Amino acid sequence: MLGSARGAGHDLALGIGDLGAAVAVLTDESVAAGARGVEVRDSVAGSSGEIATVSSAFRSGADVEHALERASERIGRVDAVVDVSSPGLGAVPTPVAELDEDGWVVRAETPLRRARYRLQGAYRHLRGGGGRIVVILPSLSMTGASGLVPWVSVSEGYRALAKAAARAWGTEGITINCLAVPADLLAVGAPASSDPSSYDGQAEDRVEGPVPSLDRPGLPAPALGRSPEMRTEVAAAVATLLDEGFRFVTGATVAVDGGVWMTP
Amino acid sequence: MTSSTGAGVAGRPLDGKAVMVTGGGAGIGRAICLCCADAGAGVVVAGPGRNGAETAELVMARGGRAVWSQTDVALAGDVEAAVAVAVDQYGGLDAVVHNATSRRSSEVEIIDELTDELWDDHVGVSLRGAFNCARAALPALRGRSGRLVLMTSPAAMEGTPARPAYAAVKGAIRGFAKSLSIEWGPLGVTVAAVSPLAVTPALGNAYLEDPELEARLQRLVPLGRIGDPETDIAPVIRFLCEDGSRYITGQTIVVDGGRFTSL
Repeated sequence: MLGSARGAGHDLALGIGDLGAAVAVLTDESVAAGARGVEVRDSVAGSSGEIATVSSAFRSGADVEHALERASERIGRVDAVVDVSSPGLGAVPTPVAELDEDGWVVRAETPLRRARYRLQGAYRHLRGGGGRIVVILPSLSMTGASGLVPWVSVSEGYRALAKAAARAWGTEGITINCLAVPADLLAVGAPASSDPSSYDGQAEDRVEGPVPSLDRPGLPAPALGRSPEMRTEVAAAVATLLDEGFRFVTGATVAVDGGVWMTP
Repeated sequence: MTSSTGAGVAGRPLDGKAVMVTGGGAGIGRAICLCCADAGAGVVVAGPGRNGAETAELVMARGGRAVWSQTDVALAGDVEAAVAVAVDQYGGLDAVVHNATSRRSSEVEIIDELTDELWDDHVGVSLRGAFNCARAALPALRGRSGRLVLMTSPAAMEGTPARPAYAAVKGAIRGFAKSLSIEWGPLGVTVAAVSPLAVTPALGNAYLEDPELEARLQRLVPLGRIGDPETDIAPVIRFLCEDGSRYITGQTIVVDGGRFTSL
């Protein structure tokens, strides 16, 4: 798993571990990764999974590739890469008119660039043997949200890049699919303030769940009665995408939001 | 700077309006400038090169109003200056069409080997350009039922293995448009994206690299041909700048002869 050892990433790692997979959490949270990794391992005790944590700067595709190599030394061959990166400041609603250039870059351009690094690193590690890539994105990336223009731009850019990669790498046995989940799930663990110095994994003040809804007011209730939980329903959906039955699905986006938007 | 106040023709849909077009020096951008000017708009051709001045001259030769403002959309100051030109020249700004894309958009890239340099070029023009246009134009657009139109691409919806950076920024543009339309709705400003399939200089370059491409595209398009920038694409953007489109926002309008039908 590429992403945070906190919040959404933490819960998803536990859920995938619950389902029997060996999981390595590759995180760019260099300050907190060690302690948090222990916490993740402790809290997964009793599940059949194995959890390891590898910290990396993720400043290039090579960084990600090397981190995956270290992960495979810990847990064995990596069959799948799940990207559940934190939106960082992108989850702090801010109108475009109130953003300066630095604010735009840290919320939009840097995360999109790093998404590319993660895809490139995952590919370099998986090529030769094939594998699956699953990208977890906010469902509002398909519908838009006020105050979240940078995060939605990154997410839609990432979806388009994932489709391009799916077309490029399919004949090498690598599939890439996206799971769209409620944004609130991904915002947990994101920096709680809009101070740029709190971004990039250094924040001490973070959003702890539950977070206020980031979606539009007045939406229909989820058809299934509630939002999914990361550790159970979302983890199960990820596992399904990694199942043999999904081996011929690539470039797709599956919404796991309990039936809110029902987008095409 | 080249300009003309020109003489308007009564009853045209964009009479009295001002439209700024980024990347207006060639291709679809030039076609949008000509089409909007023909419909009565005063046009700011925002482009980095002298071909922007040539577009303005073409507009004026047809009796329209146009001014070239030398603009690198990746630079906030340039975009702010172009907006100021519209306000100064035409008394305000009613619509911005962000059409500019990287000059390297037609380059074939391998995603694994994609460099920061090429990536930054795409992001700078398309995505930073959209941000700069939005920030600079909002004060002028609000209160005038303003419009922001952003050009996206089929690559944003389908992905393309040959141009992944282009796909990514055009996908991001769609997210930008959807979110900003919600953010700006209460301000009375609409935001839309347009995905065209048209014969452009970039597509012409792609034809040179892949001689079979044109025939393949024509087979894919139910209408049997690739769109013409001025007669097939630009009129749709002109409509999005007109009063009659005031209830359209947050949408991606696909103008591709029916090639893509699964939005």
